[in-house]
Amino acid sequence: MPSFLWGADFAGCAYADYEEDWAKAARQNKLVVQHCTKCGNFQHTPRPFCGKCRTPWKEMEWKQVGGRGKIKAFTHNFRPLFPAWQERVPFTTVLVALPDANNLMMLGNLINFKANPENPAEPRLFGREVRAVFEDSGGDTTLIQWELV
Amino acid sequence: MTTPLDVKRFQDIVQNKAAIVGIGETEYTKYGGIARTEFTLACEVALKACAEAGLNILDLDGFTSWSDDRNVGVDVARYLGVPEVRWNYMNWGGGGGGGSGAVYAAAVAVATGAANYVLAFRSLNQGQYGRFGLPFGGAAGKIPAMGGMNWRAPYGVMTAPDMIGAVWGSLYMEKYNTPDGIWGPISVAARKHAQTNPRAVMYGRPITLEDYIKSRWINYPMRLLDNCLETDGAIGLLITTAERAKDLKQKPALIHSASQGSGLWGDPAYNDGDPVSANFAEVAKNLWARAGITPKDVQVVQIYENFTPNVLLSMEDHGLLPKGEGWQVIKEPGYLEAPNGKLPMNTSGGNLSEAYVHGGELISEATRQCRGESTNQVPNVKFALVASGPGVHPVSDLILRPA
Repeated sequence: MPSFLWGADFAGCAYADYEEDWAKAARQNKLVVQHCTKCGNFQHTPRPFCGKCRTPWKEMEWKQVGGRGKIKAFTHNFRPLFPAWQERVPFTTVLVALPDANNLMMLGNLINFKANPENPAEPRLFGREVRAVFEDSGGDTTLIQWELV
Repeated sequence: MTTPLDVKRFQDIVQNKAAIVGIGETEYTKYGGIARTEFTLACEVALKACAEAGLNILDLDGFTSWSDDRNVGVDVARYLGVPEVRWNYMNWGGGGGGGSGAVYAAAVAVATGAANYVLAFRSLNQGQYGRFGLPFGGAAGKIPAMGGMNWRAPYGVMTAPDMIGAVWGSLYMEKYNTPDGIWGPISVAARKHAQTNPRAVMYGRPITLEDYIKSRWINYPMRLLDNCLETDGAIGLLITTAERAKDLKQKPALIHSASQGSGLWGDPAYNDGDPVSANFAEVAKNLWARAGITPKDVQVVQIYENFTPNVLLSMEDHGLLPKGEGWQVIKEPGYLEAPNGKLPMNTSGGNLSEAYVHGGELISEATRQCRGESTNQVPNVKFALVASGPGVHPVSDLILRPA
């Protein structure tokens, strides 16, 4: 499933220097979170310094976490922002809390799921368990997506 | 740890030492409705605000703005032949979070003698420059890492309704176990207030709660009528000292308290601070401390509405509604409506129904409430609150009072 872009081919994502290792792990189908070995802080999305003790990112580690989480928020986008999206809507975006990383959240799409335009309130997806799916999206980018367990 | 603020110092130097003394506004239209350039609109509101105040334009000596306004203060001065500028400041950050902060910066300037007459202005002509906040357009190429777009855009999360309104609406629903549609009273109150305000783009177009529920889905849990308008227009607010205000034409609205800034906020995966809030925890705390009053002392509020879910969070952050229970409280019919509701809110129609001038129109409305000139006047206004920009960073606040 190709990722969203505005009608053009998806050319992948650029990543900042301190994000590159995260993107590389994703390409290897590993889900990692930035972790400070000095103070124990987890942070996502990646940052150039530990937000708790200011350790530079090169001295922090990338901790692999299990690919399971729970849905904290979900939205169903009904708006074809670009003509190429006409066939995509409605699509669902989720915030997933990761129990292995202090319940930090990750943003992604809920794939293999279609909201009901007549009653998008159901199913109420809060708390539902999901697993990570590694989506090779071209452009040297692997995206983390989610599907219901 | 953040060092404690010197509240008394603010009170000695700034509190009630500065006032909003003039309002300049262009017409407000649906976007694409104004043929003059955005820069021309900025010049027009400078002239109008000075004229309304009874001030000679050549006495204007300062400019502040917000939302990264394209029209630079010193250029407005140059094109109007204003000979000397002493204050030229931009409050960083897109959207409406900087509006009250731009007035605050003007108040500090005049209270400390940095300048004498400062215009806080915002000009927006989407007909000239394209719709505000649309994603960078159409070109192939890698999604840039700048501003966290690389964490959002590949998932189709590219615009403010998706990033701000829908996600925080859903987070609120999850935390407090609510249904969708709880934001209807906010939308309906704003539209009701627009019906007596001839400036409002939605003047003559009332809605009911049923219309709200039937409006189409944009991004569940947000319906069309949970979204602000997209309009064109400009606004300028003239600020000077309370002393100089006595020599001008209008009844001044004194700047009693002000606050600007941010907590930890802005992560593209919503992992900063308290994710179920509007980023007002710190800014509102400082506002009330400097004001020396509590939410109960305020008679009328103007709460920035990019999206209604964030309005509810903003009101709860400010202590105007109980945390997690605001959605129940505002169900009471008329609760948010002037003149007799318990918490009259956005009494000109605001971003939802008057015009989307990035909340500048909320500040002019609070000023009019202090003057006693609102088209939905609340009786006996002693204090009027403005909260600028929920869910963004920075955010900012004002409390105005009649002189």
